[in-house]
Amino acid sequence: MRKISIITSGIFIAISVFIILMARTFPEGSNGVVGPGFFPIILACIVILLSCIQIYNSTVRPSQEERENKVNLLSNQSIRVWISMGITVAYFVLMYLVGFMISTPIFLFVALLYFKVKSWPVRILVPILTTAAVYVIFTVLLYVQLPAGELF
Amino acid sequence: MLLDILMNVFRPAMLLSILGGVAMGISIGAMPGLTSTMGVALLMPMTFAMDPDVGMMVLIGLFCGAIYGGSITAILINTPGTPSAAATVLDGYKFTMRGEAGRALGISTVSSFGGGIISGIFLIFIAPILAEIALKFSAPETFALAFFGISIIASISGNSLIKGLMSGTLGLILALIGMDNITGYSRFTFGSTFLMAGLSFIPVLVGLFAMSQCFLSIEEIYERRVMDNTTKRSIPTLQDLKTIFPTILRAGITGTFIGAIPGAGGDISAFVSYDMEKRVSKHPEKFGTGIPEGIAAPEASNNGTTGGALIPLLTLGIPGDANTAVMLGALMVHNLTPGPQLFVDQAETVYTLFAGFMLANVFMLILGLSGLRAFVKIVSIPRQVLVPVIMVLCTVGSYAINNNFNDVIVMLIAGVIGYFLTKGGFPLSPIVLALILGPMAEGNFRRSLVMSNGSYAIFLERPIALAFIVIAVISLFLPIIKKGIKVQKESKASA
Repeated sequence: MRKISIITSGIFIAISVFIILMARTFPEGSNGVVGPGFFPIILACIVILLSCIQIYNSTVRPSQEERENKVNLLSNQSIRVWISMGITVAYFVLMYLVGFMISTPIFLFVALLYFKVKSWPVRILVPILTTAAVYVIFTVLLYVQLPAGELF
Repeated sequence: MLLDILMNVFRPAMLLSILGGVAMGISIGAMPGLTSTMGVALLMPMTFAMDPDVGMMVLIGLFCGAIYGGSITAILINTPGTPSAAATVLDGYKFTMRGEAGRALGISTVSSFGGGIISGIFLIFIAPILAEIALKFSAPETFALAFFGISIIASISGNSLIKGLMSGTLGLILALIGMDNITGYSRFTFGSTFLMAGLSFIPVLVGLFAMSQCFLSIEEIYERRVMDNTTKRSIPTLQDLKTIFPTILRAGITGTFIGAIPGAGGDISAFVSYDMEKRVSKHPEKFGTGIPEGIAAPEASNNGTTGGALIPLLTLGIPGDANTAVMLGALMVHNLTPGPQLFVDQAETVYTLFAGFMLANVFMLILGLSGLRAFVKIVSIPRQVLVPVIMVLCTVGSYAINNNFNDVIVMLIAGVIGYFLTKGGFPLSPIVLALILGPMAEGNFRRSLVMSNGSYAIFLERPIALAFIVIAVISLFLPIIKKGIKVQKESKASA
């Protein structure tokens, strides 16, 4: 957790510097009232200050929580999360292309397969029934058009 | 008006939506890994097509049910279904080990009901008074209130003050994206028309609380939960009721007040009440061995927070916790802007929600005492199946708000960020609350300066504004001062 705290704080600092650079190009305020760039700059400065304190804390005197909670982003469990994130991105790309009704059962089937669901009825029925239920609830009952896909 | 409200609440559609909300809430709350916030965020898109009051009642029912539902798994399998049931584990599981799971569940149900009803009474009596005071607020007071809300949230959520503050400031920065509502200047939109209106709140929320939770559950996706489904009688005996009655009263009131503080939710109040009961008890040594008070205190207290959290939401437009933050989003979608004006313009809706809140607690009691077996069965659905289905619901939910695919992408990004922030020990609720309170604070700050022609003294000349600012500053610095004193004491002791 120490490492991830430090990395996150570093990312926070980078974003804040970027915000300050951008906000300096915003128009000035008038009549003593602050302009649109005032708050972004103040906030970014606060984040930089806090991030520096956090980096100092995590390196010099990490809290008990930080010392005891080891986070390994390359452990088997974490890699499973990385792959799941990849599957989700693929699902969204597919949805963008062919629409919700086709991409969703495919995503669910792949996810169930990846999570080692053994039973074939579950592998087949859950994707079909979930898609159907979402279609009925959202499109039929609530009149929400689900993504139709660019290719159609 | 009273008759109108009762007629409105006892409509079949309303009754059904409350019942459905509570039942779903209990199921969601009982499943470890699914929290009440996730449930409210996921179900919210489905309430858009409903009447405002019916839709809101589904969410309020779900909120109450989920906070209670967390105790079922806390008692049966030693795993709290929601963070607010963490304190219930201490005594609850001891009952199950003795073979008295049914008795424990009964005590938890009655206590949750008691806590909920107590908080409902406070809600009904305190909210209108508070709204009347808040009606007199103008820009400086509203700024000070929002500032107070943000500072208190950052300082009490999570274990590390700095991390809480960082999360809160990140939320404030995200809130800046879009058109500046005073000058009309676009900030951080990178030329995208999608970002002009600002980040949509709901996709961010679904991402942070539901999607990131899915990623976290994937880490332990093969963990099996075997549950005893032989629990029989769950109606508490008269003797038990007598023992827990004073506990419920005290814990319910404590829970209500803690719930009303922005940022403090059921998890904190449950531990506070547990600790308090232990102190007033004649036999404090028995806590932790499986005694009725040990379940009644946290359970009455965490359900007490439900009504408490609704007080600042409805009267001031400031959510008491992440759940009510989601509800704030739902109210806005229905064109009901929470705040004192709501009590003037939409009084009937507000009182319908109050009546519905009480009814939701009654349904919770009935379902809890009679339908336990069904809930236990639902909890047994394996995570491998549940997680992908929830991911689909996250997707549909964030798309349905504006029928915009970009929102789905925002949701996924928020989910990934939420996952890593949780891993790094950064609390997520300050982000969401800051996202709501940020524009409120900034807009009113600049409006105040317009009022005073640029003089900052306006914040110091108005007593209510000054009071909020002073409390906010104290709440930010108190933890640091406390820590300093502790370090000094330790160094003295070692020297």
